[in-house]
Amino acid sequence: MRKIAILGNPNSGKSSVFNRLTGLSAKVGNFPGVTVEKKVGTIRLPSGLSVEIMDFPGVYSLHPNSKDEFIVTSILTNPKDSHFPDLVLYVADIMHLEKQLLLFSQLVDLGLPIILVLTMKDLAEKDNLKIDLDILKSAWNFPIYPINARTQEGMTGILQEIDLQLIQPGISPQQQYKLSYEEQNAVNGLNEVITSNNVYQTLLVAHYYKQLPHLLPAQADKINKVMSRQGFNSIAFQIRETMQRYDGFTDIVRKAASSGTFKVSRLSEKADEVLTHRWWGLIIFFVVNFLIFQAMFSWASYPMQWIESAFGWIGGLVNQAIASPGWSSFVSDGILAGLGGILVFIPQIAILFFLLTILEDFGYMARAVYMFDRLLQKFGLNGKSLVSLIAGGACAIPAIMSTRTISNQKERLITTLVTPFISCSARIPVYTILVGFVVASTHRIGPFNTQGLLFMGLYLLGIITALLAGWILKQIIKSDERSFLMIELPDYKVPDFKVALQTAFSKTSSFVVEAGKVILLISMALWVLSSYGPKSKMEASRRLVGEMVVAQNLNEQEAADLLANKKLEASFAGTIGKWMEPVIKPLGFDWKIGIALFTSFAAREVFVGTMSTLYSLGTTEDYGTIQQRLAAEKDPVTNQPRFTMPVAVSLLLFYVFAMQCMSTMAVVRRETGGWKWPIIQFLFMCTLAYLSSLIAYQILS
Amino acid sequence: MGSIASLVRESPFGQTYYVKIDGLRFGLRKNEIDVIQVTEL
Repeated sequence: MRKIAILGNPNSGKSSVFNRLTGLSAKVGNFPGVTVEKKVGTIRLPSGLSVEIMDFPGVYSLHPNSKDEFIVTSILTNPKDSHFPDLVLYVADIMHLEKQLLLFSQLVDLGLPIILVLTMKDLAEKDNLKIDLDILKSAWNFPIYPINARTQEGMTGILQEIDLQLIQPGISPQQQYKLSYEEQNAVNGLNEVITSNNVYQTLLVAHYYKQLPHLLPAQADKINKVMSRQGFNSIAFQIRETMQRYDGFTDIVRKAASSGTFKVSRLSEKADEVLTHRWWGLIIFFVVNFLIFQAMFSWASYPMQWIESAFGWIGGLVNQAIASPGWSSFVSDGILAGLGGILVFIPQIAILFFLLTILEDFGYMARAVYMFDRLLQKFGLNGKSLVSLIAGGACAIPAIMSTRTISNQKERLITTLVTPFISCSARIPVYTILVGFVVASTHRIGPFNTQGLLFMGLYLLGIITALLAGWILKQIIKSDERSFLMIELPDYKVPDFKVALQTAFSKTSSFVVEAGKVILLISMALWVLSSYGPKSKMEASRRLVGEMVVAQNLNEQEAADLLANKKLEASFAGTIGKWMEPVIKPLGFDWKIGIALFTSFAAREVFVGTMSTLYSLGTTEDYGTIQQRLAAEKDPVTNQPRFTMPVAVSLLLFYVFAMQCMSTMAVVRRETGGWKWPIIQFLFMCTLAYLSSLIAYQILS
Repeated sequence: MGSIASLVRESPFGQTYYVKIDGLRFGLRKNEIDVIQVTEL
C-alpha cells in the first residue's frame, strides 16, 4: 500500500489533519524497535485507491534532539525503511509560517514529493492575514492547500491532490541548502561507502551515522574513518545549515504575506499574565486539576456501573449456557472477570484523556509544563513529566506511555519508575473499603469529612513519595546527557472536541490492548490457582462443607458461598496465602489478606472480589456489605475484631506503595527495553510498602 | 538568525523562563536562553 507521511512542527495542527483524514480508522502503535508512538490510518482516495496515512512525531528539524525526533531522521535517511513515505503532507500553521518551514526546507532537499497544508486558515482570515500562494508555489513548485481542519474546509482538495501526486509526483528541482566545501567533501567521501541518490540524505548520514540503525557496523566504521579524516564538525554545520535555510524561506514568506509580518496574539499574552502568574498560575492549576478529577470520578461512575452490570448479566448467561460448572466458572470468573476488570476503567481513562486533550489543544498543558519544570527538575523529572503524573491518577499504563515526549533518557526513566506511586483509580475500591476502619464516616474535622481528608491524604502520600523516589533515583542514575525543556507556548484556541474525542478513543483503545493482554492472562492463571489445589485438601474441604451444610441447615446460596470460601482456602492460592502468613504477620495480616495481596498483584482492584469470596459473600462487590462483613470478622486466637484501625492503616499503606499491577510492569519492560527496571521498580516499591506497613502496624498496635 | 528574543517572566518555581522570540512564545530553561540574546526583561 502507498504510504503518506504527515510531517510538521509541534502545534502545527498536524494531529487535527490526521484525525480529520483518518477518523476512527486510526490505530496507535510503535515504530519498530523503539517506543515512539506511531499513528496509522487507512483512507480511500477519490480514485478508489487505498493509502496508508502515518502521523509522524512533531519535529522542528531533521537534526534531532529527542527519541521522537530521531525516528523521523532515521526513517527519512533510509528509502528502504518500510515507513519511508511515497508522499509527504507537510502541515504548517499559517499564522506562524515563517517559523515552521525549516523542516519543510529539509524535506524538499530530500527530494520528497510534498503537499503543503496550511492550517488555521480561519484565524488568518480573522486577522486579515493573506498569503499569496502563487509566490510560495513558484518558489517551491509544490501544491499548497490552506485549510480549516475544524470545518473540514479544504480537506477534499487534499484528497484529490494526493491522488494526483501519487500518479505524477511534483518534486522541487531546486536544492534549498547549498553545502559548504567541507560538507561537499564529506558527502563525496561517503559516496564511496553508501549508495545514495540524494546529496542531503548523505549529509544527514554524515551527521548521524553513529545512531542510524540501518547502517551495518562495518559501514559505520568506514564512515567514521572518512569523517575523522575530514574533521567533520557536525554542530557547526548544523548551525550554518539552519541559518542559511531560514534566510532562504523567511524572505519568500514575508514577500507572500499581505501584511509583511505575522500578527502576535495579544489575547494569549494577556491570558498568560494570569495563567502563568507566580501565584494565580499555581492556584488555577490546582483548581483545574481538582475539576478534572471531580469530573472524571463523577461522570464515570454511571458508565462504570453499566459495564459492571453488563458483565454480571453476561456472566449469568454464561452460567446458564455452559453446563459444566468448571468451564462455566472458567469463562465467568477467569475470562469475564479479567475482561471486566479492564473494561470497567474505560470511562475514567477516556474522560481523563478527553479532558487532558482539551487542555492541550486549548494551549494550557504547555503552560503547566513550563510552570512546573523547575520544581520537577529538583526531583529528577522534567516539566513534561507533569502530564504523566496527572494521567497516573487514572491509570499508570497510558501515563507511562505518555513519557515518550521527554527527550532526556534519565528524566524519562525516572518518570516511568515513579508514576505508579500516583494513586490510580484501581486503588479507589481498596481505599473505600479500608478508610472506614480508620475513621468513622460521620467524623468531621471542622467543615470537612475526615474520611474525605484521609482519602486526600492517601493521594498526597502517593504524590510526595513519587517526588522523593524521583529525588533518590536522580542521585543514583548517572547520565551525561543534557536535559532540555524548550516547549512552545502556542496561542490559546478553542479546542476541537471531535479531535479530543478521537484522541481519547485511540488512547483508551491502546490501554485496553496493552493492559488487556496481561490482565486477561493473569486473571486466567489466578482462576486456575484459586480453583485447583492439592487433591486431598480439596476433597477434605468439600466434605467439611457437606457436613457444615447439614449441621447448620444452610440454604443453597449459603452453601455455595461456603463452598467457594473453603475451596479457595484449600486451593493453591490459599496455600500460597498460608505460606505468606509468617512474612506478613508482622504487618497485621493473616493468610486471608495474604490471598488478597497475592491476587492483587495481577491488578489492585482484584482485592475486592477476592475479599468477597474469602468472606463467603459470593460475587457481591458492594463496599458497604464487604465493610460490614470485615468488621464482624474475629481473630480465631484472641476473638478480637480482625480488621482494626492498625490493620487497616497497614493495609492502606501497602496499597499506596506496592507495585501490584502486572500490566504496568509489562509496559515498563517495553518502554525501558528489558526486565531490569521493572524488577528494580517492583522490589523498590514492595520493600517500601512492606517497611511502611510494618512500622505503621507495630507503632499503632 | 536576526530574531529578537525578549524575556517576559520567570516561572513560579524559578529558572524556567517565558520567552518571546519573533512573536512565538517558548518555555525555556536558563541554559537554553543563554544561547539567545535577551533584549529586555
